[in-house]
Amino acid sequence: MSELLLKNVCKMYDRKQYAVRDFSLKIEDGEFVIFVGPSGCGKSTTLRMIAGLEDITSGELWIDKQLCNYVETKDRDLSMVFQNYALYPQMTVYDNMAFALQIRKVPKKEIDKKVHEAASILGIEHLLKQRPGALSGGQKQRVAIGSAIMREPKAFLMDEPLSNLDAKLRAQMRVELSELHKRLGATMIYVTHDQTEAMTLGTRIVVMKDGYIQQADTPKEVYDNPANRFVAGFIGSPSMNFFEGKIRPTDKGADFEFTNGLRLEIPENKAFALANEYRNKNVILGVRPEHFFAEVVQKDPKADYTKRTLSGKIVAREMLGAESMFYLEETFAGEFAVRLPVETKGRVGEEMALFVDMDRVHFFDADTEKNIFYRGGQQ
Amino acid sequence: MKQFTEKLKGGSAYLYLIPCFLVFAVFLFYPFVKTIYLSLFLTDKLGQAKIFVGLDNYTELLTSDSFYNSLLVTVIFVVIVVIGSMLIGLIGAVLCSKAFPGIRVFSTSYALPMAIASSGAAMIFKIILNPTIGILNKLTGLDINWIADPKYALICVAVLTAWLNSGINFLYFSAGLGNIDESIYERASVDGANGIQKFFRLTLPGLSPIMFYTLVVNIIQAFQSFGQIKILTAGGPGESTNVIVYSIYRDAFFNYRFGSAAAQSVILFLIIMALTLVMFKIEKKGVKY
Repeated sequence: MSELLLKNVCKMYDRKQYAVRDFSLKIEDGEFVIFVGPSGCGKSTTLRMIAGLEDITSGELWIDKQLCNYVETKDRDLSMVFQNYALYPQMTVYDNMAFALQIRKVPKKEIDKKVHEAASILGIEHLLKQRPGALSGGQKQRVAIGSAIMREPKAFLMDEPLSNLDAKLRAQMRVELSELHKRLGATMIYVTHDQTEAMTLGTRIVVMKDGYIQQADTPKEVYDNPANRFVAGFIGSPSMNFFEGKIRPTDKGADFEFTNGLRLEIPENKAFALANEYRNKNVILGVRPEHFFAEVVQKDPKADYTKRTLSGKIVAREMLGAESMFYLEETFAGEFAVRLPVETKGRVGEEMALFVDMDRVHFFDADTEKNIFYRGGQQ
Repeated sequence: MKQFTEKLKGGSAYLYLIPCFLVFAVFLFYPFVKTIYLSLFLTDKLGQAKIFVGLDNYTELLTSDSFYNSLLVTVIFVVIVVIGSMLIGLIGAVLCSKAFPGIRVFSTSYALPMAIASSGAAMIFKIILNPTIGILNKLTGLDINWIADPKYALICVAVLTAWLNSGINFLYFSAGLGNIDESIYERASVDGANGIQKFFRLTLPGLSPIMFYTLVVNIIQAFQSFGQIKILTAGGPGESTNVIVYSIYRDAFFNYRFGSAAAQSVILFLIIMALTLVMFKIEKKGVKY
């Protein structure tokens, strides 16, 4: 097991288009790092560069304090699970799993022991004699993971391994992967476009967009303290609601003013900074669906909650079980999603007034889209 | 009524088969039956059956040294041609499976033998192999009369045929390689396999279905080679390149022994059919996935 260091890694295709730009990241031993982002953001390319399947255009890749830019894939001592599993179709499951060891001329007895060990961890012992063509998606996926854990590589690379599975199986495999990580204590790098996977699996999330790292931090930090509007919108489901407006100073501090003049009072801790730097300037207000309340929750007795209300017409309502999603519309604010307890009353077409938990909202600069109150964070 | 229409439906299928069947009948079944018929007769110079001799033509063949020589020559010829042409095709296809500048030029030249007429190629080889002006002797500094020496004549014809047949093999193997999922090579690299290991553990097994098909086609094709032998060596020197197909031709159109030629054709047919059947039996065991 080992640590990886990427220094200003860039990938350029056809000498004109950057797929990955200035990717710098230090991955510690035993970390479970998730690269997440929309398709085309460069996450898979980065993983493939680490594996050596793509050349690094510029920058440095260090594995265990050894510069690996020009080390051949086969000599990097990594193991990888591919999106389509890449099982060897003409080999049995047993040979598929044993392949990496057979190549290394490990004694047969040892291989046999390891294959059975890995197979029992993953519950695929009864499949060892089958060929991949006869397996279901979930079984193939287990075989792929089984082949990867046969060795003790410097790091495990996983390229969207769960994307071909159905929702239930995916949830199950997520738990198993997480357990596997704990059991092996291995460094894992995992690529996904699914923010739920990223949040549940990772010890650290690297959010990428257009080839750039947007934020690299723990799941909680990425959720509570997003670096910019993109990260805020990408992480969390359903995603954060954004409203355009201006900061208006008041005698008490500052208000957020929607385009039609409706105001929300900003709590003291943020009000002064905003009043100073963004006086009468455009900002974007970000509110997560769960930070709306149908009834006032009096946290701060001094605050005037009537000044923290937003209303809208219900356009749709979804039952999620314990909770309900409401989709509201307001001419000046557009459509926004709200997550409320399931017993909340309100039918489609009705008006609904909601209190906004202004202590937990985010403010983004209208021009740079950066989180105005972003607290540094590790890289 | 319903039963009647269903019967009609079943019958109409045969109706659709008739045109194709007619063509087959005229150009395949009739000559085939006629060949078997002729093989039981002595014929005149025009190839008309005259005297029924039963299996005499066959017994005569099976007791003649010349026929056994033809069989042996054919076997050697087929082995060299099949191995040679499949190797050339495979190597070419593997070399051209990765994209590189100028790949089209290379692929075209590997596939080109397919488009060359066998007699034309034989003419060119005749010049290349010419003992006094041929480029082969000039380049190697040897002084061998390639075509006129019984030791080399068969090998020369076989190598030429292997090259001629390699074009189509190149196409088959290229198609076969295209069917192998690229990502298993990537996984093998990450797993630590080098190029040779990847070739033997992934590429060859991956090609096994098409490999079998190619083998069958190649064997049949090699058995039936004719044009290049006629041009290059005409069965000689002696009988060293007198493969069965050429021997049939010689018996029929030089010696006017159509009966004997027909009998040889039937034997050749039986050999090829037996081989094909055996190989299909083996395929069920040998070809994986």
